[in-house]
Parts: sequence; C-alpha cells; structure tokens
Amino acid sequence: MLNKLGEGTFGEVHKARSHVTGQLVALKRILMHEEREGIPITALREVKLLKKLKHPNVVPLVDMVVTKGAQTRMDYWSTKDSKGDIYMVFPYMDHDLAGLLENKSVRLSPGQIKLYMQQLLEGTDYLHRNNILHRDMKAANLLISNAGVLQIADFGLARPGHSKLAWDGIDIRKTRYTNCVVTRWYRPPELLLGETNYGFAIDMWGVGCVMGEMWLRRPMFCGSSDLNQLEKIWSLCGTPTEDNMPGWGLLPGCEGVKNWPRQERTVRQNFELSMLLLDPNRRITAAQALDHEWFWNDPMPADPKTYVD
Amino acid sequence: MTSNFWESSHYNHWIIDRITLGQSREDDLRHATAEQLAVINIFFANMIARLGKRLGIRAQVVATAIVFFKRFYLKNNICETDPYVVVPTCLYVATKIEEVPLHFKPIATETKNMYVQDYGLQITMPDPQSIAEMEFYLLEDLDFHLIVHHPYRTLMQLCGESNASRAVGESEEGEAGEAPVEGMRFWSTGKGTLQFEEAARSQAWSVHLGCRCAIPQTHAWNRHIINDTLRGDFCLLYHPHLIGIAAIFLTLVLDGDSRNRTDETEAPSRGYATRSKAPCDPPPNPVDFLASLNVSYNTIAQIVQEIISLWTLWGRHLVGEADTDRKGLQTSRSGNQGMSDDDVIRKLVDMHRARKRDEQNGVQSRLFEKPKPPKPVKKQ
Repeated sequence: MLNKLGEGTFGEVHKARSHVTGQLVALKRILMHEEREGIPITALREVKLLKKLKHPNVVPLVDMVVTKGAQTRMDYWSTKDSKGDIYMVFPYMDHDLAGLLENKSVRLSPGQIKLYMQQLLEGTDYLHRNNILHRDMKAANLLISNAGVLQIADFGLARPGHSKLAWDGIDIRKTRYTNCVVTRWYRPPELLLGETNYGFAIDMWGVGCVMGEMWLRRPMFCGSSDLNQLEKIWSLCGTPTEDNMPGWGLLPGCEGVKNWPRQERTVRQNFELSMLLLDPNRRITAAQALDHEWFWNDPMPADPKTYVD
Repeated sequence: MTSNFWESSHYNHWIIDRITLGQSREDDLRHATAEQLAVINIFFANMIARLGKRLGIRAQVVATAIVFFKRFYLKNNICETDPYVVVPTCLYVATKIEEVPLHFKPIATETKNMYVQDYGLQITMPDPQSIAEMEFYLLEDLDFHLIVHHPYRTLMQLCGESNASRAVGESEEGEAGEAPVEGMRFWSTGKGTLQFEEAARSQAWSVHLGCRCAIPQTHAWNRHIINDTLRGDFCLLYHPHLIGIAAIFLTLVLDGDSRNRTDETEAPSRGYATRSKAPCDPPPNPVDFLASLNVSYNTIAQIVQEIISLWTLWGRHLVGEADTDRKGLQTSRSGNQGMSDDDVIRKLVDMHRARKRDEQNGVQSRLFEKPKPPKPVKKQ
C-alpha cells in the first residue's frame, strides 16, 4: 500500500504495488457507511457490473481483496468484531482527466482531444449497448494512462437502464430512478428539472461537458446551486421552449424557472453541442457521435502509439 | 444487459464436475451419509424458498439465493458453519443483487419467526449483525461472482412470450415478463418457439407432485420442476439452458393430456401450436422441436434421470412438508424411515457435535488442509 489517491463515491482509493505481479494497482476500499445495512448495494452493483464488463475503454476490475479480522474460519461467526475490509483492485492509471486539465503544463492538441473523445465515446457506447447508465460522467472519473488510453471509471452510481432488453428479469420499465445523480456541473437539464424517467442521454450530456472542458480547460457549467446551474445552461443553450425541449413544462422542477427572460441559443450547431441539446430525445447517441464526421476531419485523432506524455 | 452465459463467471467458474463436488463434501460425508446430505440440501433449499415466500420475494431472487447457498457450501462444510445464519444471508445478498433490496431487520425478524413457527428451532437467532458479518464471508467465498443464470429464461425463450401476462402471482413462480435475450443461442436454431398452453407451461415450472409418490394428484400440480431442480445440485453441474430443456422435456412426458392434444395438430390453437417466422408453417411436433435444438441429448437425458431420482429421494423423506399439500401423506407413510424436518435438525446438531469432537481429537478438516478447496474447474 503506497499512498491515498482520493475518495470516490463510497470508497477511498489507494495506490499499491502487488506482491504477486509487482504491478502498480489502485485499491478502492468499500466504505461501510451504514453498518446496519451491510455492504452498500451501490458497491455490489459496481462489482456486479464491472465483473461483467470488458472493454479497452472501461476500467477493468482485476480482483477483489478481503482482509480478515477473524483469526480462524472456525470461529468467525462467534466473534463479533471480526469485520475486515473489502477492496476492489484496479490497474493503476497515471492520471485522471480533471487533474490533467488543471495542470497548466499539459497541452492538449486537437488531435489528442479527438483521441480521448473517441475512446470516451467507444466506452460509453459499449456501456449503453450493454444497457448500463453510468450516471456519473465527469472529467474526474476518466482515467488516462501515459500511453494515451482513456478508461471510464467509478461505477458507483451506474445502473442498468430502461430498454427492451431484459435485465435479468426485473421489470425495469416500471422502475423510476432517483434524479439525485451525476455531479451537478455535469448534470443535464432534464435531471435538474426533476425528471425521474431518464435514459442514456444523461450520460451523453456529461460527455458533451467533458469535451467542452477539454477545449476550455475548465468545466463548462460551474453552477453554484441547481438553479444557478440551469441559468448557466440556458445562457449557452437557450431557455427551454416546447420546440427545443418538448414536455419540459411538465417536469416537477420547472416552477422556479418558468418566467425566466428568454434567451436564444448563443452558439451555433456543432458537434459538441449536438451532445448538449436540451431535448434528451434529440441529443446525439454515443453510436451516432462515433460516426460523426468530426472524427474524420483534419486534424485526425492522434495515434495513441505515437503518444508521449 | 446482454448476458452472455459463455463469458459469465457462472460458466467459467461455477460449473463443476461431480468429482469436485464430492471432494468439497468429504468432511460432511464423514458425519453423514450421502443421502442424508442430499436431504439436508433439500431441507435448506426449502428453507430459503419458504423464507422468500414469507418475505414476498420473487422466485428468481429465491433461486439466486439458493445458488449462492450451494456455492458457499462448495467451499465450506455444513458441519463447521452455522447454516441457519447462511440461509438469511444468502437471501439478503440475493435481494441486493437482484435489485430488490431489503433491510436486515425484516429479514432477521422473518427468519426468526420462521425458525420458531415452522421449524420449532431453539437456537440463537441470527441477528442483523451476524447476517452483516456473514455477508462478508459469503461474498468472499463467492469470489464476488454475483450474477447467476437461471433456467427460467430458457423456458421463456423456448416457450414464447404469448403468456407474458400470466405470471408473477405466487412468489414461487418463475418470472414471466422476461424478454428474450438478444444474442446468439448457440444451442438452438432460434427458429420458432414452442407454444404451450397456459397450464402446460406453468407445468414446466411445476412438477406433478403425485409422481413422486406415484399417486396422480391434480391439486398438487403447481410445484415447479425448475424450482425443484434447485433442491438438487443441478445448478452446480449443468448449464442452465440444459436444465430448462430437461424441464420442458419432463413436462411433455408427464403431461399426458397435452401430449395427446398435440397429436391433433389440426387444432393448433388448442395443443402446442408453434409460432415460427412464417406463421403459415405447419406447427412442428414438440418432439421434433426439441430434437432440433442443438444440445446434447445424453446430457438432457441424464438431467431428467437425476431430476427423477431427486423426486424419488424427496418422496422418501418428509422434509419441507409443512408448506406442501403432501402433509396429508404424512399419515399414510408413517413407519417409513425417511427423514423429517425434525430429523434433519437433529442430524445437524449431531454433525456439529461430531465435528467438534474430531477437532478435539486433532482430526483436521480436509477443506482447510489445503489453502482453498479445489477451485471449480475451467479457468478462463
């Protein structure tokens, strides 16, 4: 165990070196918030999902480590203070995108941005095709290795999505999600307005924010409250109308914002903004985004093989 | 979520062979006969199912819990652990995995009620804390492989979706409403589905209880073949789709009525009609349909054989009687040496004592001589 790297949704992350392979790994400790409820269901979800996923742009779960408090197995149900810790083991990645962007000495060429965007979208598309909503898309959750590989991490909020595909028999169509997901700056307008029946488009909003962040070198919308967050979004994307966001007036959270002065969309349509469309149904999907000509225009996405950090 | 069984931990780590299964039970077999152990397994699977019923939990969750229980005891001995804690823990973890989480408290309370009311157990009741702790060990011994594939899905795929509305009623019943999985079914042509009549379909889930005691009893028909397989070791030995097909096969055999009806293929709406891609295709005979599936019929035959021996075994003993219609049978069968619930409970106490004695006499537990029991075969 080397040093603490940070704290995630429900676990601390440590850097460590494996005794077996000698490789650097990141250990994510599952925090027991509520002792009464055992291992948090979110942690189990994360494990369950990660065990199932395998994609170059999704962080792989290498192993699980359980440290024991109990001395022998024979008496483990008789001793009461025998709780150990559970760690998830991930390969160590050199950076996260948020840190990289804060670092003034790091320059990102348009080619590199395209490279990262392409990987981010590949990963997102993989998740969505597997019916998983990540629900916490943000720069800090995107890990980047020195070899230019981007991986989506932190599935602490991820859930199976609504879709025609069955999720092991659960009738998900009736399920309503909590709208208290996604870090505020990356939260799409429909969530801010209180939608509980959302879909994959919420992840795409986050992807769009991340992309803008790569150009601007700062988060796109740094709202200080949910309302302020909406104001910032309206100022870029225009206020919602029945035309650009059908049904918005029916969302529970819209009361406070109904009488806002009209603002027009200030930026013309381009690739980035196709992910930042107010109407979640018109927002581009990961698969469509990957086909976008943006990736086929000069400058072409950088080649990770030539990537030197 | 696309669940590719062939890439799952279920297939890669948890389908084992009989030898491994036997090895994992060596310790317990020192203190109980194989038959007693099998009865104990039925006993606990029943117990989980009953607890699930009390808590109003769906069949699939119960099934997952039972599979967890069985996997846990591949690495542990019944005589060395407290299965009465493992039972609620398996159910507790299963509810979390299947996205219908329950709190410790109702589980602990209901477990206690069940132990007292249904089994008359006098033990230290598992409290939330012991369940929380057990969860830890359970997850570890499951290697955090949490997704379990069940034969219910095969049934739904092969038998079509027409009756999706039929369904959930009883908690012991399987899941309808499960859409067919996209993706390759390597073992089937993917063409056409068998359409069972309502009754026949529920029967693939259900077992003709009567055949266990050789008395046809219509009112007992809503036991479930697949649920029954969970009482045996099928989920550890065979692929879920094979179990599913075996269940369908058995249904065809047992449900003589619907089989006769199929012969009048003139009236497809009554018997098993078949829906294939082109609706005007003549409905294939169910036998042909099963034969067209790309699966090993030797294996199917073996599973069917084993299901039948499970029933025979189950019929010989009286475990889990309290909740079934077979209660009445109890009287008619007094004097036979089958084990009842009480016998099982006593046997468990004996086993624990015997193990303790062994421990004192320095007899090592086989499981812990080696650091870990033989890992289930087939690493990726």
